[in-house]
Amino acid sequence: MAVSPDVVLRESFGRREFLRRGAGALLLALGSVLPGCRAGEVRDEGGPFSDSERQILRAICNRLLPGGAGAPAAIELDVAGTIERLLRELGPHATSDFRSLLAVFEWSPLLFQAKPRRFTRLAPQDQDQVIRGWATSRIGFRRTGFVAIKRVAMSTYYAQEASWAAIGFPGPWLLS
Amino acid sequence: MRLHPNVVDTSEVRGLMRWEAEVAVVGSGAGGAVSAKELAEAGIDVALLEEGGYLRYSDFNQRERDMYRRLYRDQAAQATRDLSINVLQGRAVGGSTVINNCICFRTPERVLTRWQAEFGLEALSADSLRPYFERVEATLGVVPIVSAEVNENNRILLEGCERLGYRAGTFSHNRKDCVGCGYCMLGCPYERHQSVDMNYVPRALDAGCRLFTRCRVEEILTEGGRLAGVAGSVLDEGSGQPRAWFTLRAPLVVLAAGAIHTPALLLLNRLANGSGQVGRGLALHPLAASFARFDRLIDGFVGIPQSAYCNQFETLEDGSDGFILEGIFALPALFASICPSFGEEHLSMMRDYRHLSGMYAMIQDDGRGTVSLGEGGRPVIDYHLGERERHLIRRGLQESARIFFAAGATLVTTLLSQPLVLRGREEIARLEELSLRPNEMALFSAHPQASCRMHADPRQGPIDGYGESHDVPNLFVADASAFPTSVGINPQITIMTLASRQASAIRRRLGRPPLL
Repeated sequence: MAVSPDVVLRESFGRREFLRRGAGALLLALGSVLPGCRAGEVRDEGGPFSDSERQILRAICNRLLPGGAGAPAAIELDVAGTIERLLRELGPHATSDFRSLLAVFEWSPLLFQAKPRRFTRLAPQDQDQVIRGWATSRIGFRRTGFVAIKRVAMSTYYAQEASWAAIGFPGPWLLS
Repeated sequence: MRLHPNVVDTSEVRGLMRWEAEVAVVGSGAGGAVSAKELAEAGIDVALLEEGGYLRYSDFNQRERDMYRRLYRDQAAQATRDLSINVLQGRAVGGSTVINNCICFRTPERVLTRWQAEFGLEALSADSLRPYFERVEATLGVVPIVSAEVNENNRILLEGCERLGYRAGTFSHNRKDCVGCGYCMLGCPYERHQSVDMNYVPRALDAGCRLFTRCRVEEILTEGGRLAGVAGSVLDEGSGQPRAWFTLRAPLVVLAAGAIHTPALLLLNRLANGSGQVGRGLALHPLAASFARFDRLIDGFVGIPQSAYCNQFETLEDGSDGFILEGIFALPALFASICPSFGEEHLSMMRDYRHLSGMYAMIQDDGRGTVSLGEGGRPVIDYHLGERERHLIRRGLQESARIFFAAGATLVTTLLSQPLVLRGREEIARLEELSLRPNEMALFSAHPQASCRMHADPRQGPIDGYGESHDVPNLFVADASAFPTSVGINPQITIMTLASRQASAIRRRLGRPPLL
């Protein structure tokens, strides 16, 4: 399983192959014009994401890794920020699919549940419901999109020593 | 650390380098390292080319964040086109033998019998291969894993099998005085893992072989229809990008770049494919894992990661190929990325990390996959589970669960995105309902093979029974792509044995004494 976050991103979004097949191509094209991912939207200097895209990624990471009872939350380990930095290194061609995926994610209550809501404005339990819908969807694009985001988020988080105490992992024998 | 004087320092080269040798060996893993050593020890001038770096024990820091990047092909992210199966391969001097779990099986006789009968490879009998098996095992220092070395995770597999009356055992392995740290898949920092960079490669270097690291072969050279050598890029260590170029003139070439990149190289060069079979027939040995919770601490990350197996289902009741069950465990980042679900449910399972035991079913699959060329000539792997493979995965997961419950598990979970948790043996039948659509369940492969298969008939396979191209004389293949079919067991000994036999034939051709 892919565990180097930058490579998960490159393999998933740099090749631009798996998401661009079948329904994936249509959904990505749709994502590229949805609010939250429009090409003209203002982005931070040098960063691949606009503020709204950053919010979407943070919201997904926060539900994937909410933390609690001794486990730091994704935001405490800056999981979304780490993913963004890795994407920046990969360059604009590798990030466009990721940005489109975020936009589709943001609008998935509307696209897949006919609910006129955005992901980031849902209550946490409703956000979980949306994510679960991606994980178990009959549409291969959504299952693959979920797996790609989950892999990079989980591997970013659990490669950090700060995550180990909560699961009782004592860490390597060799000192860093 | 000072490297052997025959390791050519490519870190400073610029422009076009021109080298010559009697034999060029492409890839320094299980196949290439054996070729290099067995040929160099006969006095043949061998150049061994490796795309990855030459890491030594002091480079291995037991950190997932660092070692997957440095030791694995595509930094452990190589996958099928749809990302549904992660295909793990090493990319360093020593290849996958540096990051495998040291499992040593001889090729099953039933597999050799099939290769003889269906592929016209009559000479590949267990008897004829025995001296080569013995030579390989002696060089690696293969010994049985003793009971005291079996950790709690693998002991669970043995206990469950004993209670069910299933056939099971412990592996033989190529470790020496293992300290049991459990980090084999990140490279052994204690020099106990007897990968080929610890034995075959140093002996090849001692015999005069030159090793060129960070050299990626992209072109197979021919002149007037004859093989003339290879050419490619010298990669920058930091960026991985080409920094210089090389040509290596050699009248005989051994390809050992693995079952993904060897066929890709042939396709890229439009060579040796009169059969049309290069890149076809790829088998992956899909691995379907499950984990079980026990009330007591298991700490599966400590000790030899894989020491026990169950071969009760190696052949099924109807005589068809089946699967082997093997104990397994994963370090936190790897485990978290495949652990089912997300959020609090995911965290809850992660909190059980020290109480978990792992096992996978390794499926002996049909050659359903292909290797083709994608953007920039990069290999693309396509593989879709057939109904037979899906059936074997369901059956393998059911038998894994039966073994776990027999050993006292309180629950068993598969690696579906949406968790399927079994709380007793009466729920095992639920696994029969798995649809196994792509990306519903995390699947792995560590054994790509059979993508450039041996066949006596040039119309049905690109290479003959010694791994030589039917179309291009003196072009050999010495990795798992040469297997006619999947072998159904961990393949390193089969690769090395066939490479030894091939090296003996090459020695004869070049006027040197054969190996045996």
